[in-house]
Amino acid sequence: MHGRVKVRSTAEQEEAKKIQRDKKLQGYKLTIARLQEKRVNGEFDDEALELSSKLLSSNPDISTLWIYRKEIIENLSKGDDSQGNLDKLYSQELSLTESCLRENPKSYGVWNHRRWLLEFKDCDSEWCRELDLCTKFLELDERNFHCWDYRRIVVNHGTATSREEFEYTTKQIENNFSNFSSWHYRSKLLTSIHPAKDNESDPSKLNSSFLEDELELVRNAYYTDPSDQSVWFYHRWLLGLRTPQSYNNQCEIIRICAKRNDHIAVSLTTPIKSNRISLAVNEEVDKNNDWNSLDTRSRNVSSRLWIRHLDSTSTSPYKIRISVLASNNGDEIQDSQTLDIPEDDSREIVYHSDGLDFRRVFQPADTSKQVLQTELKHLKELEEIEPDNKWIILTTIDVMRAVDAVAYMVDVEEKLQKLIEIDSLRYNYYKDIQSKYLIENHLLKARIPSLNNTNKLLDFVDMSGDGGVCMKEDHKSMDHVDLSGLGLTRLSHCNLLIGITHLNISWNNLTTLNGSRALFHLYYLNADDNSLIDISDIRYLSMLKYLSLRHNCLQKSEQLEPLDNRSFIECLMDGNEHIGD
Amino acid sequence: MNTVDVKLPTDAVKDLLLKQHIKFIESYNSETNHYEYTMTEYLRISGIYWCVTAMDLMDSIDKLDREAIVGFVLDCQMECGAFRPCPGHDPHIICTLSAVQILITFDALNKMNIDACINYIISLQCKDGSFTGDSVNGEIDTRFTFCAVATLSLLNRLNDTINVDSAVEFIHLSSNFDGGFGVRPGSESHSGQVYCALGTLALLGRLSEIDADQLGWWLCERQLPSGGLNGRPQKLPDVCYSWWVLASLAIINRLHWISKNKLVEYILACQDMETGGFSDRPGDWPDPFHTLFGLAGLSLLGYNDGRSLAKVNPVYCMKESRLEDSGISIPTNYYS
Repeated sequence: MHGRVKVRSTAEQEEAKKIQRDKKLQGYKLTIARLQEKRVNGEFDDEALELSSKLLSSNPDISTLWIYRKEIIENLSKGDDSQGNLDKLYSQELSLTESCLRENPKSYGVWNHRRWLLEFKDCDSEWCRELDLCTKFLELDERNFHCWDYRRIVVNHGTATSREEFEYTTKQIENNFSNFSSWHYRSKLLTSIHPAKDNESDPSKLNSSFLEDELELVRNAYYTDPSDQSVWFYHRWLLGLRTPQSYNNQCEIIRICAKRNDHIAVSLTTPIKSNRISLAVNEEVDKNNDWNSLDTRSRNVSSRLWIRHLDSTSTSPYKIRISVLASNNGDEIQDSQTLDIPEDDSREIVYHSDGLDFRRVFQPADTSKQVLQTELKHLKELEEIEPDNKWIILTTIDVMRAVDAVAYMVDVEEKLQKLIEIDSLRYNYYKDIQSKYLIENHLLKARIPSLNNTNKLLDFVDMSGDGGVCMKEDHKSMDHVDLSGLGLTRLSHCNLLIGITHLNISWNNLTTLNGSRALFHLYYLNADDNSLIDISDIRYLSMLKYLSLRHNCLQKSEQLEPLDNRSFIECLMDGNEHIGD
Repeated sequence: MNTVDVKLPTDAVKDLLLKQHIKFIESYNSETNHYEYTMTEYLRISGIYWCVTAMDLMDSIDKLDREAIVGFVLDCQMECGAFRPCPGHDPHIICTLSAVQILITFDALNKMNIDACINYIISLQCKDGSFTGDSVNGEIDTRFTFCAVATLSLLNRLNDTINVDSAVEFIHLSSNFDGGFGVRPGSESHSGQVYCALGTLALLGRLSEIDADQLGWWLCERQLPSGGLNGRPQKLPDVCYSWWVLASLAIINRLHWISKNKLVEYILACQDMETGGFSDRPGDWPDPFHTLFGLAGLSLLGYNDGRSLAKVNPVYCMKESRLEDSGISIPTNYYS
């Protein structure tokens, strides 16, 4: 079905082809009918092997025939046949699968059958020969993932050490231009040869001299061929710039928010299921698991944001403790935070804990700054030789942000602009990532104690009227966030901002309010002067009373549905024209 | 090093040849195609799913013989509960998913033995959470996890059947340094497997556990200068990846990370002007598989403002309204 070129042929050629096909068709129908008959009759013999072999040789994807052959082999090996006959049977099977592979090296059925055969034979020495088979097939097609997978099974039977396989990937990388499969395999072998200190699969925790050796190899590769994308993917991972988010990682509490007699909300670094969250009031554990996730509003999911009702009729102060348990069944506590709720003075206040340092959230990897600085030097050199190579620029951005996101803010902006110019296919990706970085910079700057708090206080009507939600005085600035005029196309990191009550996202390029539903406590939202066509997240912002959506693109009635049945103190909508497409 | 890619012909097709595609699918099981039809009987039920769904997206399902198709599908269910591709062949989880998809499309789900089917699927799950494709071959693949979970979800029986946590665990074990997913733990990332992994996680409410920005980036890097999408780095584009990659991006809310116009151009160029149907790349032979995924890709992209094709669901690859009518819960594709 793939890669079959349509070639023009004459009427004569068509006729000849038709005759040939009819013949093949007849042959197939007769043969398969005979085989089906034999199988139903429980006949496990040479005729079955011969006939099925003919059909499988021209089409190895007829998986039912491989199953029949398995039955035949199982049956014949149970019988009184001499070992000699069995050996003949096995070698026939090996030979058939090998010739099928030559014709169809990507047939799932053949590779699987061969694996089955080897496991059925259960003979250690046979596996060694399989390694050579893999090497041969990889010479023909270095990207054949069926073959690589088979190789990994073969290696698992003790036919090669991780180090030997590691050397093999080195050779492959040095000899092939399309070598993504080798780099991938290498990423798996790396940490099994050099087990890292605590976290097995995190390369940034590798022994430093080994990391240096590996970086040397990577640098050679990217200097030799800077447009070989495979090495850049690997490089990014090796430097810990892209540690796969492990759902098993330590889950930490970012922030707790609570409103007396109403609710408690929790924001976490890693998504978990709610049965890992433990709530204690005055150190007495509440065994009910009544959590709802803030982003999907359902229970049986994993999420970084959870909310539940908090019942309490008393007016005296109390202490809330949230703990994250190590696993679904365990009691081991990974993290814990407390929030003190003072005596009820009948004002409606949302209290929250101080929250985690955002640098921990944005850059969890531990790669040494020295290593990163060295890389920056190399990348700068290379960029001078190849100024329009997007991989170099992309990697440079990642490294700069890992070294010091705020210090390199301007450089990163410049480089993102360059990427947008030279790689227009991915324009929207770069814009969204740019938005993410801008928000991260904002959050980082706001949290660095030495800098002045750069959050602008909003200049408008006093929010603390009766029935309104207001902030404790000393938290006011942290709960008013101003992200206006940044050119944002996406609202990243809303999960870090739970508890805020005032948000200004005016004068950006947002088409959707997607993400804002996490901002459960939002009371005031200014989203003027964007390109909004989707405001569905407003449905979830039940505390929202002041909403401004002026100069957007909300024209169709279905776009405005989220505003139905809502009673806002003020909702401004003027200037919504459908601006082009 | 030159980028591995194709060049679109200068006379490439620029419009959607809807009428021709309808004819192409209609003729696929008629006598004129007897050779292809017979020689692909080992996957027939999946072939029928491709044809049925393609017609449904073109709002032309009435042109198919509902009775005959439903009859054929029911005939493919075996005592063990699983479905085979056609009589005389062994059953498989992939065929089982196709069968259920077809029966839902024709509103005939109540005609099959649902309980037996569910028991079969449960029996395929291994201790490590993975699924085999059948009860004899011992082959493990994240595709089979998706088939199992999607089938159970369509039958509305995800809650009290398989071990969800271990199934999710196995998916995570199959993830890689680049954020993608492979056939099984250790396997290289591949768009088809990524689609299966994301579909599984979406249906099980565990989508938040992946790094969507990283994976979304890997996915949008599948787009080549020709506008087409490949399945993994340094490979040729193929129209079926317009589905696997695109649906994956849609599931994690990042469809806009590829250039829609360029991709539409590529997909349209893969149409066969003479016979109708889509092929993997311009100039190759068309087939129902690539036809479905070409149409589904265009639907996801909102081609012609959604006026030419019905809306497709990115997790199930079925007409969305069909799922709504059947009361099937569509996973909240919310991911920010």
